Amino acid sequence: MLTWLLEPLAYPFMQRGMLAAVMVGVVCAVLGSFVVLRGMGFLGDALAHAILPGVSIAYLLELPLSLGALIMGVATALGIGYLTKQGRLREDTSISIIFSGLFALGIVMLSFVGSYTVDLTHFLFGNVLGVSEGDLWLTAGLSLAVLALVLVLYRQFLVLSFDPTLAVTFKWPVDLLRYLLLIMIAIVIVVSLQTVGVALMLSMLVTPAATAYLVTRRLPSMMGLAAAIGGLCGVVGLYLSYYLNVPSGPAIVLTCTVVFVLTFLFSPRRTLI
Amino acid sequence: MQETNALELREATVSYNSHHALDRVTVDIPCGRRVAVIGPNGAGKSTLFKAIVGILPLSHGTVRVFGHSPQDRRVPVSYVSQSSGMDLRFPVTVYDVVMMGRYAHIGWMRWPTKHDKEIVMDALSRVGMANLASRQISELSGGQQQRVFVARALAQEAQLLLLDEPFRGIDVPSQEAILSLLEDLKGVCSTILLSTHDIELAADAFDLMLLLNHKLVAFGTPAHVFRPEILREAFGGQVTTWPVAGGGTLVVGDTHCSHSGCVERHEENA
Repeated sequence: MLTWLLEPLAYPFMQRGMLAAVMVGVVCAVLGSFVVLRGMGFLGDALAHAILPGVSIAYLLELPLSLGALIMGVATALGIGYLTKQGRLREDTSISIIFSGLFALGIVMLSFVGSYTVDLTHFLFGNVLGVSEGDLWLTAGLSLAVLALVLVLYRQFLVLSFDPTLAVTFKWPVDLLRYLLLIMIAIVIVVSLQTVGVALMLSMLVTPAATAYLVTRRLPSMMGLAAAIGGLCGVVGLYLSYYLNVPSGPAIVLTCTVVFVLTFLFSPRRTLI
Repeated sequence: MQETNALELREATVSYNSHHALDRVTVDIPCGRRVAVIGPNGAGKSTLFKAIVGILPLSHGTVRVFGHSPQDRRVPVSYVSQSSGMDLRFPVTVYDVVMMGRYAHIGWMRWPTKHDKEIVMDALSRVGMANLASRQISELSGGQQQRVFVARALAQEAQLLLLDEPFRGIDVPSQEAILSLLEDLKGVCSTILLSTHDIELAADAFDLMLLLNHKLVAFGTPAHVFRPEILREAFGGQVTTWPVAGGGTLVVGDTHCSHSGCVERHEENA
């Protein structure tokens, strides 16, 4: 058993992959708790797809991919924040138009590169085993920044999510906090890009948090449990990927999904913590 | 007698499209009074509250809360809305919800102190909910949830308390708990505005009545406002009054409400 567990870790790329998967699992789950409670799942998915042109441009110009993703992510977050305040079309309609358009643009841009199918697969579904040491440091830095913001602004985000009217009576900068949350989601998407990719990103954001929601009664325990589930699923998914010889991103996501389904079927309704 | 005013409205007008939900309302509400806001459905009661809290902008006129604009950070107002939009399956306990009321006082990067915790538990016991502090809010009845939101408003320790239809659809013990709380608050210099459909209750339990039908119809003591000719002005055909044996007046008010509870009976000294 021990050798079974240790064998993959003999490879440096597996060690880096494990670390990245754990960090991504944890930070996605913590921020994902707000995504689940505020019903922002669709928004998160849209944001993830919309960063593809940024990644493509960075790739074509041979700049760091994360930089392109980050700039595009923040720009899209601001754009979506602005769109949701306009009343001309239903919010989900305008978001759908923008995100599918940007996604298509990203794919067209990538097609200019010869080896495009391989790269596209990596962007869509992740390539956690290709994580470099530099990527790892960036992931760690951005994850810590997001976690620190959640900790510092915990009360603000809690009230904003539960009862926005109260936040208004407190005269808090409600719009600013909404934008900040969107930007944090964009950052988390960038962080997860390499691990699970654009197309599966939503699962990391939503599934562990939703699983924890089923069995918890307070937000801190929901976040804590979600983080544990997210981190653990990252590790388990990577082992499965190694031994079953399946792609790592989908393996991690499927692990999360199985944990959710089992919890949904067998948990007593919201009575544990 | 010179009194400070908790609220000063001058021609306060709120418009949706071209419709005036609140139409040139001018009124001074003195500090420390309990005011019942009454009027037909859609008369602008909730709009009035939202304008005072600063959620809805005025299209004309001014609102001053303790001399400040509603958007001013210094204005301490607590507001219990008709909590229909809230997700009550949210993972928070009764205690957590009431603690949110303290967040206005807890600085950034700080955590609740022992003092905050005492205020929360005190507010909960004043609405008779201390024993349910660790319940998740979805596990409560509608009336108990309403009491929790009133406790949260108390924990805010604001000088102005706005309660929008707190009695709508709640059980009798919850209504009584909130009413006796309002009685307790009489000594403290806190101004309370409460909107309700129950005209008789408004006349019985409040110092002042504010009768609203987009415009201000009447404002004053129950003896001044609770009169057939004035009520008829606000409610129109919805109020029928006639004398009953013993010199009282029977008021049938607000035909918009449900089948039960529409008939308000009031014994007025003739």
